[in-house]
Amino acid sequence: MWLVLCDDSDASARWVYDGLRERSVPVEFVPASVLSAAVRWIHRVGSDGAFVEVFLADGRCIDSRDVHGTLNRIVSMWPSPEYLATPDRDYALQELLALYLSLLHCLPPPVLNRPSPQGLSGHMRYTPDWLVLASRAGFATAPYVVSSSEDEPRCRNDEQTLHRPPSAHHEVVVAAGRVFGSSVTPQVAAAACRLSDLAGADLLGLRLATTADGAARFEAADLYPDLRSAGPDLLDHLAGLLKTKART
Amino acid sequence: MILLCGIPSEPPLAMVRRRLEEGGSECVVLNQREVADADLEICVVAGRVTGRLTMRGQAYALEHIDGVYLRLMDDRFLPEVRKEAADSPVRAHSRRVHETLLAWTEIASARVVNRPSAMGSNASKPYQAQLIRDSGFDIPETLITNDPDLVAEFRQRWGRLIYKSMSGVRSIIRVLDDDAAAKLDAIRWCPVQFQRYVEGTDVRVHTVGTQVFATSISSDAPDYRYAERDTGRAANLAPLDLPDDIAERCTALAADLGLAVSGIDLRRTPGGRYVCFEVNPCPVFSYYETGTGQEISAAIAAFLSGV
Repeated sequence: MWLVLCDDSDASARWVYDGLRERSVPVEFVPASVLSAAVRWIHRVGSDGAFVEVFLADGRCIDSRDVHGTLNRIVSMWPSPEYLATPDRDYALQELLALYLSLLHCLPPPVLNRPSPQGLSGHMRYTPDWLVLASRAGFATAPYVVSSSEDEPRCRNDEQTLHRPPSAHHEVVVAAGRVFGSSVTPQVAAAACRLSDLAGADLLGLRLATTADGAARFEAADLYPDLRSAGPDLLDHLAGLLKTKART
Repeated sequence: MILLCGIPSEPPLAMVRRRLEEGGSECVVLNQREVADADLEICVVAGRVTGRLTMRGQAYALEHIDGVYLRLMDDRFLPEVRKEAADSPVRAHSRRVHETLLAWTEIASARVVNRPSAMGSNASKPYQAQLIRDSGFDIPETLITNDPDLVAEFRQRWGRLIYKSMSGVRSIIRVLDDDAAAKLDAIRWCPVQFQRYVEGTDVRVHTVGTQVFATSISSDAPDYRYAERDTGRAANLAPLDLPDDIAERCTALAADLGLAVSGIDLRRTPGGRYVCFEVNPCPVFSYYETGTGQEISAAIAAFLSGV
């Protein structure tokens, strides 16, 4: 079984689910509202490892031991309505966050993206962190300044940026080692994959700019890219990944 | 230059500061209580990180800071902030200073104790338990559920159980006695973490880089931190020599979690096994140093100074 976990309004995740079904991948779609309304939770962690069984209100049971891969785009969760208006609300939220992190961590690979304490669907990073990683991956980056005395970050060298505006913006999606979306050079694709590795994000959206001199400049990264922009090739890639995993 | 961030009178920060000053290191303290007078700017150009910290009219280049010790309290609860309106400029400025500080300490080339992202694993104890198990330590058998019948089965299988929060909030350990077991229906609304009670002697291990300071704790309380309150008798602390393999496992675990300094909670069973409960990424080592004389603050100061 494959899982698609996502927020209720995540049209990209729904698109992947439909595409995988068309490709005969056994997949379950579990939006956050359904997961958070589960009627029974069993999560065991011990010397033999960890697993989770979640019994959903619609009768389905998600058992991590039967899962072969997950598209994980969970952003948030809600506590039981019992707690919504009580002083225990914040405590219940923290407890559920801790539970979700643990149970997502025990799902067998591949999980795109693996959870992190900095985000249930991957490590959310500050912009300066992304810029440093992007440079290490081989991308050019615009100078960047963030100050506690200002409301908004700015480019330090505004003049330089204004004199060399990008000729084009494009967005690509890196998924499990392959680049989808806008056509990019092999060098840019390699840099995008390196950035995905450095960030520990198997699924990563990148906004790039092509400068007047033809260089690719990193602009922003997104752990929740619109996957539809990657087209059917992404679905074929994911389906292949899942079927390969199911055979191993 | 070493930057110390937090409340200057807080024991761990004060002890490290004293050690640094005794060793002749130049220290700068970012006092959270004076956050209104602080500003921080980060510049990233082609992957190189520079910037400036300004406090009380004096500016410090971030690239001249060699070590950072983070002992931050939640800035929302600072006395200077907590009574401010949600949209107050004081609150907004405090938040921006702290956010900018956290962003910088993630990527600073300085030695940071500890980087914010590395401190995250403790926010989910069952998640961290999986990482601890991966490092080769035994961990206690754990059940998280909202099903009272399963808890009863778990109790029947393992005998004495404890329950505690999964997150870092209200992190107090309680024994599941008959009174608590009679209230298990309440867990249906929110899953709760139960663990097999592990018999033995508590051991707190502080790691500082590759150095290990182990403390044995004798107490009758299920959570020795609250021993005096719960049993009327304070816990008794004593230095302990760990077996080499356990000491190495501790430093390897801290390294795997990205922690330059850690407080690892172990229990040595009557059979000599070491079971690991959790890793504290921001340990209040002062309690143990005061109780045993172990020079943990000196080791942290030396680490920050690169000695």
